[in-house]
Amino acid sequence: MTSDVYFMDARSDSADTSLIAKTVTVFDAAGLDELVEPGDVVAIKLHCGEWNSSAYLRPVYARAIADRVKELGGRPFVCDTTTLTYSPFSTRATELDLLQTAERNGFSSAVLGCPFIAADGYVGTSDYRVDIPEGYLLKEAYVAQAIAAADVLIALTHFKGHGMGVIGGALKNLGIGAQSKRGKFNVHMGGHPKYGVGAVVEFDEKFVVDKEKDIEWELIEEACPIGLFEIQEDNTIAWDRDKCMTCLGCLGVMNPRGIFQPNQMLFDATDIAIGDAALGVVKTVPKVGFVTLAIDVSPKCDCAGFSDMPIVPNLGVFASKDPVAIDQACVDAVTDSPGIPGSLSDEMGVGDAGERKFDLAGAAIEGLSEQTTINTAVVNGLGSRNYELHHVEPVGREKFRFPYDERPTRQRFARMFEKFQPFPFDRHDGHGFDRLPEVDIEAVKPHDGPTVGTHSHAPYHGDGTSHGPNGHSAPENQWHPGEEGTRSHSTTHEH
Amino acid sequence: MARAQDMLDEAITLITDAGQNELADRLSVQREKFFFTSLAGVPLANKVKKAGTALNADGSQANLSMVEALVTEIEDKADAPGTVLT
Repeated sequence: MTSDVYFMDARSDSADTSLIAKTVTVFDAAGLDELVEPGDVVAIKLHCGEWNSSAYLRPVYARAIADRVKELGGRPFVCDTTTLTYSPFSTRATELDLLQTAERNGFSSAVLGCPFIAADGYVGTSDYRVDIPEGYLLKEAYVAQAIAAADVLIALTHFKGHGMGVIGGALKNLGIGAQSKRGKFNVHMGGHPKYGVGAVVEFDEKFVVDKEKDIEWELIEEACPIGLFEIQEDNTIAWDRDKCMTCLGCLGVMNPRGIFQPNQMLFDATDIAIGDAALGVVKTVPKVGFVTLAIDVSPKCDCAGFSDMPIVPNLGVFASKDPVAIDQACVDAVTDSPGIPGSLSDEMGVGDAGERKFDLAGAAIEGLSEQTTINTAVVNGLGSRNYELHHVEPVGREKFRFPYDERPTRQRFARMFEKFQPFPFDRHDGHGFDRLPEVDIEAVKPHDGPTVGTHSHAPYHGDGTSHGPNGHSAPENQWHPGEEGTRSHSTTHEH
Repeated sequence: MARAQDMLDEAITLITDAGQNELADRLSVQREKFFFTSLAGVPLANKVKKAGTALNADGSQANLSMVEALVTEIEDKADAPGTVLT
């Protein structure tokens, strides 16, 4: 089976080649517009970014899709889901946290033109259980309620790397992002007798907490939401591992201290489960489409509290009805692309075109594969790795004009300017403003600095304070050209 | 053996051969930490390996200072929690 993937690159020189226009253009080209019927409730699922991450998709892409859905007669909402307590200081683990983080990152109804909601409720237990007998590892999934209830799901995905998932693509947007918190425990192997943290992690029972040197030692107990770690009188740690839910909140505390040893099996099993859980979502929602932007391809996902330099240049926008094919197309595009010098792909030694980037630049530990989730989703029948890439042409700038007033300039402004003329025609013989008739233009173009001196009454010297007539009074030691020697100009970056 | 540990071992050998045993010992202390058993330490391990190569070829003060700076940076980062895992 070969699936269709529609693509427009990241170059832009006109309104209809802007990435926003391309997002809508590939949406239509892939036939996703045909999924939306009048009256349909349409969930637009995206990652709203973590507190202090910055590479997540700008909200305007979701706005563009929401506007298109409304044109088609649908009723859109944009959503994300609550997370596990992935770290001691989570910022999206409750609906309240999620909405406040999303709002800071720009996701509000005023921006999106439709509501932004937490799809799995306040705690993350609003969900719909679905059987997935076809699953390679999982046999059930817990889909976020608002997504499960929708008529159409558009997975709007930012393609990037991920420490555990290796890649963050469309499959992960469903397999993690569209799962409730309960579903995320399932996918992360919570309670699994072989792959769960409680079962699989190598724990140093003899580790002694040094409360004097380790200023954050209290996190060892405080990282677990159900208090499974207890520091004993002799400063060793007791861990009730049989009750571990695999929320992963302790890994960032335990691994760096050497209390846990990183375990590849946990990561691999989770990556497999992501592919299965994604199938659960597609089985739940009647109509599903995928739009993925491979831009700002940061190595460590939007769920980290930071965004590293992208590992490859912006690649473009993809759309498909097959989440497997679209992820494979994105992986292939990143592989084919040269890395960005100085980025993590460069530092990891996988910066050349043709090299797989995410196995080393995305993954947190060695031995993971950027293909695990994709291959699992082939095995469970969700989609195909084989795809035909259709290069989509722009559809014309007329379609992307400012929609609130499409009249040309004279029709819009003639009467307004007659009443409120912004150009002062009555000044300076009709020239309007106080300007010199001519200057030496070439004097300010040299790359090594101007060839004319600083004005003798320059009011601002780059020190944050205006010394001119409209600012503070001039300091006594004010420097003027021709008085060289009264103030040093020596800096490390002198030009 | 982890990729970062491999690079670190090469760096330690190079720095030892350059006669900077104290710096090499400071790196050895970090070797078993999660920073180097995971992929997190690869970029710094690679940098200190390159700096060690330069120091081994030319024991100038500039090359020594580069290695010292990287060893200090590794000591700062190797214990820092917050390595992205999820």
